[in-house]
Amino acid sequence: MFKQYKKYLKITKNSILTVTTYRFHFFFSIISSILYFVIYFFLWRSIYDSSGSTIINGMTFPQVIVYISLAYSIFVLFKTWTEWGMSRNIVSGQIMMDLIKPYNYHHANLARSIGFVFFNFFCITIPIFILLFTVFNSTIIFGINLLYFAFSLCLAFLISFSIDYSIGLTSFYTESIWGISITKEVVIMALSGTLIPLSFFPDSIEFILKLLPFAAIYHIPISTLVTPTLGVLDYCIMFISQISWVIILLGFNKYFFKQAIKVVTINGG
Amino acid sequence: MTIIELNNLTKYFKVLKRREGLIGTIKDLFKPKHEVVKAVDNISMKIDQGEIVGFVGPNGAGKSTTIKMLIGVLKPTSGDLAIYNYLPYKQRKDYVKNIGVVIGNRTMLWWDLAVIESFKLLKEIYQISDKDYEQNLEIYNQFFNLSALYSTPVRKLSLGQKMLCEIAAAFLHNPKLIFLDEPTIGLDVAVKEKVRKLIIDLNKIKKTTILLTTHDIGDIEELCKRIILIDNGKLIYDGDIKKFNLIFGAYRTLTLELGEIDDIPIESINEEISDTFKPIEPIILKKKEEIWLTLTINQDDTKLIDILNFLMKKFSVKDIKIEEVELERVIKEVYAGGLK
Repeated sequence: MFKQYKKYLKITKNSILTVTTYRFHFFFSIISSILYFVIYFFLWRSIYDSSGSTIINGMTFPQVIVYISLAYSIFVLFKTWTEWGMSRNIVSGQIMMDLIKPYNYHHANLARSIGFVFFNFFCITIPIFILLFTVFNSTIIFGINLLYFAFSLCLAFLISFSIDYSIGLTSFYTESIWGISITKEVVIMALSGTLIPLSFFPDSIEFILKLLPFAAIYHIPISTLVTPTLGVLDYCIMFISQISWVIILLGFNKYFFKQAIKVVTINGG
Repeated sequence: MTIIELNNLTKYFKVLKRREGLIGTIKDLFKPKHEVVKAVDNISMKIDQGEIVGFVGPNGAGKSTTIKMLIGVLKPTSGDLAIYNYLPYKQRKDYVKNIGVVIGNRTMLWWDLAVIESFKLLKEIYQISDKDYEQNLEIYNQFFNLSALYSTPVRKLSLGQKMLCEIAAAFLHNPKLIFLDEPTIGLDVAVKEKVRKLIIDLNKIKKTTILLTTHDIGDIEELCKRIILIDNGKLIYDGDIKKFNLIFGAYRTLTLELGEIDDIPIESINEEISDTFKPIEPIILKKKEEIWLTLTINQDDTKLIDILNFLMKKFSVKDIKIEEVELERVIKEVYAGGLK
C-alpha cells in the first residue's frame, strides 16, 4: 500500500529540488511577497484613518491586518503554477511523457504541487509571519486552534489544487489557458476574502460567497485560527463544508480527466 | 511469438483550417472551418518478440501518430490494436509498465535536476528492485561510461549526451518493448554511431523488442533486420531489410566538381558515361562558376572505383562527394514497383 505512494513522494522531492535550483527565484519571491504585504498594511491603515472610527464592519484594524496577511500568505502558499505547467505541457506535447508513465496523472500533479507548497511555506509564509509578529506587532492567540487551522489548511490546499487542476484540464481543449487562469485568479481574490475580508460584503452576498469553494480555501482556515468564539458545532460545519468540496471537486476532476483525455492530440514530432 | 498486432489501424484528425490574414483570423475565432486529415490509413502489421523493426517514412508520413497510438496516448479512429494482449489506450496505466519510450525531441528527464535524480525517480515509478537498478547502472557504466554524466543537470548536457541518457532511462526498468522515435535526430556522425551502438548492445544484452522510427537510412541499415515503410499514412512495404538493401543499399550518388572541360562537348561526355556505366538516372551537369557532375549508380553493376578511375583520367576532378540514396527517392522507387 505504502510502496505504491513512494513514487509520488519522490516526485515531491524532485519538485522541491527543482524550485530550489534557482537562487534568484528564491530571493525575489521573498522580496515581492514582503513588498505586497507592506502595501496592504498602509492601504488598510489609510482606510481606517480616513473613516474616523476604530471598527469597520465589526473588525478592528489589527484584526483586518491579521486576516488579510493570513489570506495573502495562504494565497502565495497555494500558488503552485499547476495549471500553467499543465497547459505548457499540452502546448509543447510534453504531456506525452506523463501519459506513458505508470502513474496517475492527477496524483503526479498533486505530488509536484505539494513540492511547491513546501518551498512556499519556508520561503514566503514563514517570513511573512515573522514580519507580522515582529514589525507590525500583531497578535493571534494560539492554542488548540492551531491544530484545527493546520487540518483546515490541508483541506483548503486540496480544494485550491483541484480548482487549478480542473482549469489545467480545460487546456486539453483550448490549448491555452492564459485568459482563463488570470480570470480564475481575479475571481478567487475577489470572492474568497483575500482582497477584502468577507464580512465587508453585504450580508446576502456574504452568505452566497461562503457557500462557494473559494471561501473554503481562505475564509474557513483563517476563521478557525482567529475566531476565539467558535464552538464544536461551528468547527463541524466548517470542516464538513470543506470536506464536501474536496469530494465534489475530486469526483468532478476524475470525470473531467476521462473526458479530456479523449480529445487530447499530442503536438509536435 | 507475436507481441504487436495491428489490424486496419486508422487515425483521422479534425484540424482547424486557418484562413489567411487578419480578417481570416477573426473569422476563424467565430466560425472555424475544419478539415479531416488522414494521418494513419489502414495499417496492419505483426511484430515478434526480440525483433528490431525499422519504421520508416518521410516527414509527415504518420510514423509518430502510429507510435502515439501504440504507446497508448492516442485513441485510434478505427481498427484493432493489441500489444501483449493489452489495448493500449484503454489499459494505459497497466500497459505502459511493459514499455519504454524515447522520443527524439522530448525528454523524460527532469530538466533542472541532475541525471541521477531522474533515474532514481524512474526507479520508484517502475518499482525497479535495487538489484536490477544497480545491475543496469553497472552495464551503462561499463559500456558507455555514463556515470560521468550522472551529477550534471540535464539542461547542461549536450544533445548527444542527453540522448544517451534518455535511452539509458528507457531501458532502466527492463521493458520488453521499446519505442525509439527519431533517436538520432540532430546528432553528428560520431554521436550517431555511439547511440546506434548503445541500441544494438542493449538489444543483445536484454533481448528487448525495438520499434525504431527514423528517416535516416543509415540508422536502418545498421540496426534493423526488418523494415516497414509508410508514406502518406499508408503502409507501402513490410519485409526483410536484405531485399531492401539489395536494391537501395547499393545505390550511390556521386557528385564531382570538375576542372576545365571547355574543349570537350558536354553531350559527348554524357553519352560516353552512359554507354560505359549505365547510370540509373540521367546524368546532371551543372555549369556555373564551377562545373558539377551528378550521377547515380548501382554498385552491383558498376564498381565505384572504375567510374572514378574513368572520370579521373578524363577530367581534372577537384572534389568528390559520395552519398547514399535519399529516403524520398526510395519511396518513389517503391511506388514504381522497385521491390516487387
